[in-house]
Amino acid sequence: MAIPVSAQLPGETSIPSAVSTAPVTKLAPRHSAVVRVTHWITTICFFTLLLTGIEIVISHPRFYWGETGTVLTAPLFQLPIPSSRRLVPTGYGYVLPDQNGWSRALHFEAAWIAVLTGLLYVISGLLTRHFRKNLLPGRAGLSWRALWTSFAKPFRLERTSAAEASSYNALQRLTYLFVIFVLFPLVIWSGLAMSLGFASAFPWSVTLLGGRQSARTIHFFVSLALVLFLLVHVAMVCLAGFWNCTGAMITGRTATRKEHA
Amino acid sequence: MIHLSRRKLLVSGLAATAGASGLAVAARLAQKYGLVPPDSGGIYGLGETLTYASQRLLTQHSLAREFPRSRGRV
Repeated sequence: MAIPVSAQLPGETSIPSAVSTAPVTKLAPRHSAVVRVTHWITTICFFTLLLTGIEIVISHPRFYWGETGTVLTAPLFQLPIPSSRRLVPTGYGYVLPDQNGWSRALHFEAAWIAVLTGLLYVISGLLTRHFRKNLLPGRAGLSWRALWTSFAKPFRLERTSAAEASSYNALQRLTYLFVIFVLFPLVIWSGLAMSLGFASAFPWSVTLLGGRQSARTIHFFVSLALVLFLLVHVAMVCLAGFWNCTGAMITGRTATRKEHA
Repeated sequence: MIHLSRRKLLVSGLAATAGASGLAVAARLAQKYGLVPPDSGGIYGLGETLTYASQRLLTQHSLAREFPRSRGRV
């Protein structure tokens, strides 16, 4: 029994089923080309920034608050790891190889690409109303009960339904908006505030963050928050069906199974 | 299978041409106004060029952050 053509969404293509009683797999449009391209460029940039960022932190794993901070001043906190600089007191009896040079160059390059990609995504998202259509939560989903249900559901390790896999719930939407419009701008701002040239052009941008060392500490914590988001994001993708979600982010289409009436 | 309409093909072609032309003009202007650093080649060249050019565009006078006299000791 064939599914009536009128039941098909615009842009949907169906894969014919071999057995008439078996469910029909449909390929429904999911992500636009701009979303997919910017997603994967950002993914590559994020991992590059994370790796090079770790290398940069290793050269001085002490964090301060305020304008200045050196090995002679008391740190706000210190990571319990060895350093790649001989003069940084860590408590370890050895020094790691110094990879700071190429790490900084690559960190800045990846940051530039990520920022330009992010700008393209935001401008495109505003022009195509992507944020309004796909990320702005409806009023009904914003109740505490609905948010709690969305939060608790993944812990029950239930497979998501086709309808749930084809759009985001309110909690996911709020999280994506928070990451796009709060965490990413904050990590860019705190990163720029560490630049001497940027600080000389816009001193208020450093003062607002509490000083250059405070900007570095904020940059570190926001990066940790982004790593936490990445872990939860990948876990949710696995729960919703890894190959289907990843395939949708590559081809732009997601497979939805429809049972016959 | 991807359906590529004539309109999509034309728009994509025009966008690609406009992008390539824009990049070529930007490269010319950057050369003219001294915004290309000596280490603009190599794998880090893109990042070095963007950082160098934006520093030259943003920092017209002071090359370091200036504090008011009242903040003598930080």
